[in-house]
Amino acid sequence: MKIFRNTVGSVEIISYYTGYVVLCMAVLMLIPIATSLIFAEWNPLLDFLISMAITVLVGLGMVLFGWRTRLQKAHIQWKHGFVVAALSWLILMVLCAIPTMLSGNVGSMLDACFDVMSGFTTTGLVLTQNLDHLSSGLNMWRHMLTFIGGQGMVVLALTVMVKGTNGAYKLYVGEAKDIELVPNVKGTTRIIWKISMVYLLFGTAALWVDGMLIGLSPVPAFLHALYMFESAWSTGGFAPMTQNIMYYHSMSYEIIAMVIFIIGSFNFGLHYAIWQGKRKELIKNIETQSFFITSFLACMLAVYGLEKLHLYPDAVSFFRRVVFNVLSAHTTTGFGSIYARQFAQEWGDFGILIMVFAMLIGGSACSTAGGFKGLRVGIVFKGLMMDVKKLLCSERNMKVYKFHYMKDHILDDSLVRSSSIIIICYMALFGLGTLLGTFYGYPLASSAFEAASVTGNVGLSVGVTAPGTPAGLKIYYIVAMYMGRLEFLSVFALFGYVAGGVKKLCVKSFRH
Amino acid sequence: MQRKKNEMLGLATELLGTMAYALLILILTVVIVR
Repeated sequence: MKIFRNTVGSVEIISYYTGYVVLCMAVLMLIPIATSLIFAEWNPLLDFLISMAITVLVGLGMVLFGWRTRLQKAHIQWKHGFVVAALSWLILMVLCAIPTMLSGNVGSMLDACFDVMSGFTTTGLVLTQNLDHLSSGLNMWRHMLTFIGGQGMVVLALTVMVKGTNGAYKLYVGEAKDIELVPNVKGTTRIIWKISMVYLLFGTAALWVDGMLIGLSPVPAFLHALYMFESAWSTGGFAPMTQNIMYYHSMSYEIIAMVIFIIGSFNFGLHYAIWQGKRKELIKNIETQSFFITSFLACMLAVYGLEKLHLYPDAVSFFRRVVFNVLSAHTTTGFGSIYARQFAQEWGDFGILIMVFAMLIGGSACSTAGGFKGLRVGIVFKGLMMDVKKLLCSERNMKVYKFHYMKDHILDDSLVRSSSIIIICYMALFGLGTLLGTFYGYPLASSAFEAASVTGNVGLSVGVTAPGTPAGLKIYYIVAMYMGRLEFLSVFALFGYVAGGVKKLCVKSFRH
Repeated sequence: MQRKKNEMLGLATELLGTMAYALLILILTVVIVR
């Protein structure tokens, strides 16, 4: 616990950078404000103005408290980076929940916080009521949150930071994005945003045209396209209507969304490598290999298993109802093309279990997706193969095992160990969620489905998540979404930091 | 110019690759369901 010693300097550094991230989010509130102005929605406009004022005050207060960091050019350490990332997400959860709370569409502040954390972590579970009649400003805000959450709030702050910080990389890694596309972090974060913006243009245009072809008028078609793109690209799962993607009754809309969320679940490093001309990376990369194998198996097993139940009349229905949902679960998107209760009532235990496995595996590391990621599955699988081969080979035979992930890496025990630890943490979080679900009286299959959905930041539901869900379960789901998204390390650093501070205070007061 | 070309080709690779994967699954779904 020595490394988490709570010195005044550390508190100031953390306060300064967290305040900076909070201020960035306050500036972004201008977008829903502009939307509310355009659509003449005066009550939502007032909600956002109040929220922005509070967010600016909190952000400014934190920056001013840590102003000495700027004056003395204090050196940021790893612990600060991790704590800033974890703390920013918590503070922003509360601040960004204010407009939702003021809108009157949620039952309590806890529900509003749940929805915001669900957006930030690109989960997609919703407690907001009367979704079909939300204001355009609030809809813009919800989908923006999921889009920004996918990129990462700290990534956003680093992208717009005018002057580079001496410890930017330490802030960046804290948000579970540890890939360096170019030697400087600011350049890397800008590339992440550039890739997303190019896809935003193409994806929104494709969904807009398709939306008009299926009968939406131009303005709603554009707004729906933008919202659905933001949600699909971030592997989020929010939608402007209660029926989610079923609202559109369109196979073409579903296929465009499917392509967007599959590409959105890829590693930003993979996008960059392919855009740099290394197109074979799409096939050679251990992560895409892992994703294509596991998602293919999950789809085929689900189709084969559910075909026996004669649930859907033809192959196209199976593709739209089964394959779409399995891929949505595997990429941790959470768009549902059937109603929540249909999973529990029609799919049976086999279908539910396939979905649980798919949700837990998730997408790629350093992407917008959740789950314990294809990279770790690939590394652990290769590690297992390595151990078996070592057993079968002669003791004098020394062989170096490699895997390809942007470039060739040596597969060593420490890498297998760290990947296994993260997978164990995810499984523990999932196990606890399932246990808690059954404690509150939900059936085992439903509890496991919902726990996998929150742990893997997916957003599909069997109906456990509802405004009437016990508060204890809602709080656990918030924690699970948060820990799952930040991949534990930052959250543990924050816990350690707070515990270190509390311990120091206790020792001080005891001495007095 | 070369950079722009690479970026466009990269974008096309990702889009076509993903669509090809979806098509493969659709074809196999048809085979299984039949």
